[in-house]
Amino acid sequence: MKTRSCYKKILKLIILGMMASVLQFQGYAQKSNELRFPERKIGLSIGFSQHQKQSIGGVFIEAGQEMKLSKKLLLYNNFGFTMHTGIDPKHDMVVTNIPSLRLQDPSFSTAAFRFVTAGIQTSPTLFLNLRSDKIKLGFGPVVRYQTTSWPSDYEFNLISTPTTTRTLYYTNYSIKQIQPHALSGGGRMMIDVHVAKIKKFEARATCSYQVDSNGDRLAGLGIKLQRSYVKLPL
Amino acid sequence: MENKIFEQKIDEKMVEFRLKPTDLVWKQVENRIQQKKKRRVIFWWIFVGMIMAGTAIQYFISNENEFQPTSSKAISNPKSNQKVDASTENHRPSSDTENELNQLQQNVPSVSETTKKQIFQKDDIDIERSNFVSNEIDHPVSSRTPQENFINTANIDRKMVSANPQVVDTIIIRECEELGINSSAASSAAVKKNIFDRQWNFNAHYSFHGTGDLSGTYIEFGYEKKLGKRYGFYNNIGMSIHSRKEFFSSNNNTSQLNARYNAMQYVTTAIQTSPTFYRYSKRGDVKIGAGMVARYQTSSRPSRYSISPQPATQGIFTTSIREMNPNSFSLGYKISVELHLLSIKKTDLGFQMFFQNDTKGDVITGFGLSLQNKFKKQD
Repeated sequence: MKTRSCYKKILKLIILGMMASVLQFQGYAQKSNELRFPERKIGLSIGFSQHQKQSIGGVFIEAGQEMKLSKKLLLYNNFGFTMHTGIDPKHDMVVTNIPSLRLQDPSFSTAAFRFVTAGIQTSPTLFLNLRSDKIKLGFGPVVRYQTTSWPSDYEFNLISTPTTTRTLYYTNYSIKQIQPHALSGGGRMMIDVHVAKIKKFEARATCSYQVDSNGDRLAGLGIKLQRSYVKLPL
Repeated sequence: MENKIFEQKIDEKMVEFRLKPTDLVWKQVENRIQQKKKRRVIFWWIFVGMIMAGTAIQYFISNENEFQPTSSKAISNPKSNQKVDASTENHRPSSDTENELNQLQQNVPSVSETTKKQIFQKDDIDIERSNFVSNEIDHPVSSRTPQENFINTANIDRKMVSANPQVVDTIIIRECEELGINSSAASSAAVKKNIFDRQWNFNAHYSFHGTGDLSGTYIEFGYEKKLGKRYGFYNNIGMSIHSRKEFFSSNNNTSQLNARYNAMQYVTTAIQTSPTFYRYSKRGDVKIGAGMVARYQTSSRPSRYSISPQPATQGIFTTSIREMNPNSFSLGYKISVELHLLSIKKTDLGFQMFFQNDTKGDVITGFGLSLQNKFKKQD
């Protein structure tokens, strides 16, 4: 019960925050129609990522644009790509000693199935500037398309077939359940920490955690390189 | 005892399965082997050769007409495009030249007197200065210092101004055209286009890995810089996702209760960069690019595997993986063609097609949309 009330409070805060940002956005829009939020940054983030549902690691790449809405508030629009890969753990648990099996059956060869999960996503994030731009805390929704070779239910078998001269071995996979393509919605939390700045270029350490309706949980840690510019009117 | 007999029976049946696969399976295997052999590698090489030959021909043809006038006015009146020779500086033009200049002035009435005055007030001052300078430079060239011998175009203009004011007018008109002050709409648009010499690109493609084996998407972010009027350099980072279900699909209508069987899914994903040189068409609506590719790829597709029917149940296939080669780094080339579709303010939309081949033997083709946002470098 406590956790539920806690979730409700967090959800209320997020909704209030988003409403406040929308109101602020409108306020700015009314002030000047010609040049809205001229202070911008464009950047690229690269880092390591962990797909916690499938227990596989990988990388993420994200290109994004940041708009300064007010002194404390930023809107970060981005387009990201994740790539996770790992081997089937069951294989190594079952086939423990390949050389001894090869002694009995020289034609025996086996390899673990590779799980590859790739996703494309976008997550418009509202950042809150803390400690005069040194730390940024962001929340936002995520829309993600994912394709994977990871089966949620599968069997791996090592089968021995005794013959008159020797014992033959072979392994096989039978896939019981798999959802290769998924379009899901969710939420994402980000923390950006200032690392270095040279003229218009800035390097930041970025850390993110996201959850979506497909049950995927992704944690990321990387570096964000940004270049600031001022948008000029036409 | 019963269990042992049962196991022996199963073993016997399995041996039968291994030794005598059904005819249907063999036919499917044969079909697959034939499909692999039929890979149209030759077709692709011919395609690439044709594209490269086309590019080369276009390059050589366009090189013959490399010199382009600066404006549409200059195209319509080639006389106005004549370059003023520095050797005429302190000489009065001949009567023929004078007539030509008068004709030129009459032919270009579009520059109003007020505009001339506004823009070239500075030049009036220069005329005065140049009168002063011209008195000084009436010495023979040999008596000048090495610094004075250095040819400065600005000085040459001044001398000409002092020599004949009519020539000044002609020069003024030419410069006006170059600035786009009084040129046609087309040329001013061209000038405007040249102002934004850089752009951010976002490309999204529907693509194929192999000759249609796996299908998916290819997404690219890039930065393009114009090099002159007809060339550009484009640097980018791209991601591709391709997937396919195993051809031998398992039948879900199995006799076993609470059991669902599916085919294996193969996913191939990659990160790549392809620095590309572009050549634009004269109108700027088509561009052809060629460049190299550096690609890191990871794939769940086994390099050697076999599919066999499950002994216990009909219509269910199992996969035996013999060898995996999941990660690879390869180099290759990429050719792309882009057709401009529409422009809204500083944003362009284009249709793009590409073909790439790398050292791993992966052929990737795709077509899709390219969104471009133009800008000018800020200091």
